Amino acid sequence: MRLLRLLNSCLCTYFAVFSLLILLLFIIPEKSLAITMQLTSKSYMLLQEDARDNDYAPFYEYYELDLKDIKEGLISVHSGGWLRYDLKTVSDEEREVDELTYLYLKLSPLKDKSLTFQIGRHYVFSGVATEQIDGLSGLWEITPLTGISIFGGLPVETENDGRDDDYIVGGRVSQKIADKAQLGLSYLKSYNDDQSHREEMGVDTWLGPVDWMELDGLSSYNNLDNEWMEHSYYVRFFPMKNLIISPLYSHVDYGSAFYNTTLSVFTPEYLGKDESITKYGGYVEYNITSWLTAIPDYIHYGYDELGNSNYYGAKLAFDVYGINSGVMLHRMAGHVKQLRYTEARVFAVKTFKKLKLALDAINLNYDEEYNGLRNMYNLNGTAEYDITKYLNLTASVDYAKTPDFTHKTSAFFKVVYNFDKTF
Amino acid sequence: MPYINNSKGKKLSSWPFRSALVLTALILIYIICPSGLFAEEEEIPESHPVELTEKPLCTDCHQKEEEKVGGKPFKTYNHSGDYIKRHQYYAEQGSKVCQICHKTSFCTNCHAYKEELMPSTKDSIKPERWLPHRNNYIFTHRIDGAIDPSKCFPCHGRQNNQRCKQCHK
Ligand code: HEC
Ligand code: HEC
Ligand code: HEC
Ligand code: HEC
Ligand code: HEC
Repeated sequence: MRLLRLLNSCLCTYFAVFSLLILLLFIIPEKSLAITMQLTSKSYMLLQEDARDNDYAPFYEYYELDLKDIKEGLISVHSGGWLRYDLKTVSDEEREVDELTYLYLKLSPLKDKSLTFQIGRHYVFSGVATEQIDGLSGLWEITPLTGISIFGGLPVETENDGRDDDYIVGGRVSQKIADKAQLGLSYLKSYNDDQSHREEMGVDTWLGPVDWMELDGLSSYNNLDNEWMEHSYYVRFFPMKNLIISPLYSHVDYGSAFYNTTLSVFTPEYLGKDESITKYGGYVEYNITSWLTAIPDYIHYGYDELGNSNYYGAKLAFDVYGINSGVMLHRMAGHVKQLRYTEARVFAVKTFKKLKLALDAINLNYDEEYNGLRNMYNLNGTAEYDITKYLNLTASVDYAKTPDFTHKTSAFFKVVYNFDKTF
Repeated sequence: MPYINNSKGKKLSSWPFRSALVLTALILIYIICPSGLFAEEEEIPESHPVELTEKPLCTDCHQKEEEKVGGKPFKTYNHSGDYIKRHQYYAEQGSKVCQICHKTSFCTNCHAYKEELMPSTKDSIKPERWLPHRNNYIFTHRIDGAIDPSKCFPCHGRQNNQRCKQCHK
């Protein structure tokens, strides 16, 4: 653990990453290096008005940078982040905010790519872990059937209160059984300020015993309060080529699943002590013709304390006259008044040669009045234009009418620039 | 620190002990699972040979049923109808398959920790994603959030919640 503490400074980690990178550049024989660089810049400008007619104009700049050694595929560097600057605001908070979302080096030292390492700030998706960390992770596929992954470093989610004595470690072992099943066992442990922050274990499953059926699932256990956090399972049946029937089941215990939350709405004081949710139901996906798909669904929400509710309806997706469109109608029928409403949504997307247009409308009609209003809607229109292969522009307007903000209008502009180069 | 008190005040045994238990279990299961059942080795490429822009139905192009990717049939990965509700399982199963088409930024577009722009705002040109967050969300989230907070928790429970703290402490 002392070693992890040593890593306890961001700067130190990045310095290490880049020294390693430079070192590797020296180690790899010059001739074998062919590097491609992909750079994407996305700039967003948002113009917004609040309920008191104050204007806001935040400007966002996002970048994505990927450097790959294309010839051997042994080494690559990936980075992404963003910065916001408020051109206009009435708030006295910082006008400038930024985030380094990821910056890591990826190494695949073996020819068959069965071993990979990632170093730096990166995301780990592995069983119970969906983490952004400053550290190291590795995946080794010992045989085509068996894999081990481990990770360790500083969690980003506990960054706010300082990073002294914070760390995270975890891993997953996975086993495939022929092409019929895959099982994973995972573990995660994190400390914040030398206090146990999270300790979770999980079992993830994929089963495909016959071609007409598949199952995906995850069960996770909170080791700190000795309780199952979540079971969530999703089955898919393929009775015909154009029909998929997917029943699902999930159970979440709020107290253990929302352990150590940083937001009051997820605490038992707010949601009720010992509250949990059990969801079951499913979707059907039926491709009626090549241009029409129907997705009826039904979900039952059951609670220990709050009254139960049922959500049902359907989506239809069309693809006619080159217009990709969808219609959705749902009814939420709950025991509590707030959980009784009808939801409708319609969208259409048309692509011309260089121009793409999208319209989207949402309408919610509540059985109960909020501030004397029962209906709420949101309209959005967006146009995207490709100026060149590398540059495209998007403009969007959005209008919402809700019971609390009688209305809200916002406009949005986006410029995307892509750049590719091989050295 | 041998004992840890959690918020509920229960006494818990030491974590090195637990970790050891978990590790033993993992090793045991590893030994028990017969690795003799070798599957055919398949190559997962660095990047997909064909660039795709719309949500793909893999089986439109990969029609041979006996062909597998990451040990699963192609139809598993079909990005059809409810894919957004299912993608988490593949991600959790540590799938390398996703990386052949998706850069990290694709995932962080929706899953960042300090993100201030809603995915539906950034990609309003893609209403076919049926994402719920729109300009109306400051109002409608009360209902969605009360129905199923476990959906919101992964993105807002421990991070990405500065905006929320304006109203929720
Ligand atoms: C528009 C047609 C198209 C779609 C849709 C498509 N692929 Fe491919 N894919 C190809 C072509 C063409 C190749 C290269 C030819 C080959 O090697 O068979 C390829 C190659 C691959 C390979 C390399 C190994 C192999 O089997 O050849 C993988 C893995 C792969 N695709 C996965 C996927 C997955 C997963 C999806 C769905 C998410 C998908 N593809 C959707 C056309 C497609
Ligand atoms: C053969 C290429 C290919 C592979 C492999 C692939 N995807 Fe996709 N995926 C796409 C494309 C293309 C889109 C549509 C892109 C867009 O909307 O910007 C997409 C869209 C998505 C979306 C958005 C869904 C929506 O409703 O709009 C998610 C989430 C996603 N993919 C996750 C994954 C995950 C997880 C994996 C790994 C199991 C994966 N994808 C593998 C090509 C692929
Ligand atoms: C269009 C936005 C979008 C994109 C792009 C996207 N996700 Fe998700 N993701 C979601 C939503 C929404 C949920 C919650 C799904 C639900 O429960 O219905 C989710 C849930 C998850 C979860 C489970 C919840 C958690 O955080 O533990 C994981 C893991 C995950 N996504 C991984 C990925 C990965 C990996 C990619 C990139 C390949 C990706 N996602 C791309 C929107 C997105
Ligand atoms: C896939 C990740 C993801 C999931 C799942 C998700 N959100 Fe969000 N949400 C975001 C991002 C990113 C933003 C923009 C950042 C912000 O405003 O803090 C956002 C913004 C919001 C906002 C602010 C809206 C505004 O107009 O400023 C609310 C309220 C919200 N989410 C509530 C919820 C609720 C309730 C749920 C569950 C039903 C949920 N979110 C699920 C990612 C997610
Ligand atoms: C403009 C103020 C405002 C903002 C900002 C806001 N909320 Fe809320 N939220 C509310 C109100 C008001 C309620 C209804 C409270 C009630 O019913 O007791 C609510 C209710 C909720 C609930 C349901 C709780 C329950 O069980 O009734 C959740 C979950 C929630 N919010 C999550 C979020 C998240 C996540 C964010 C940030 C992404 C956010 N909220 C931002 C005002 C806000």
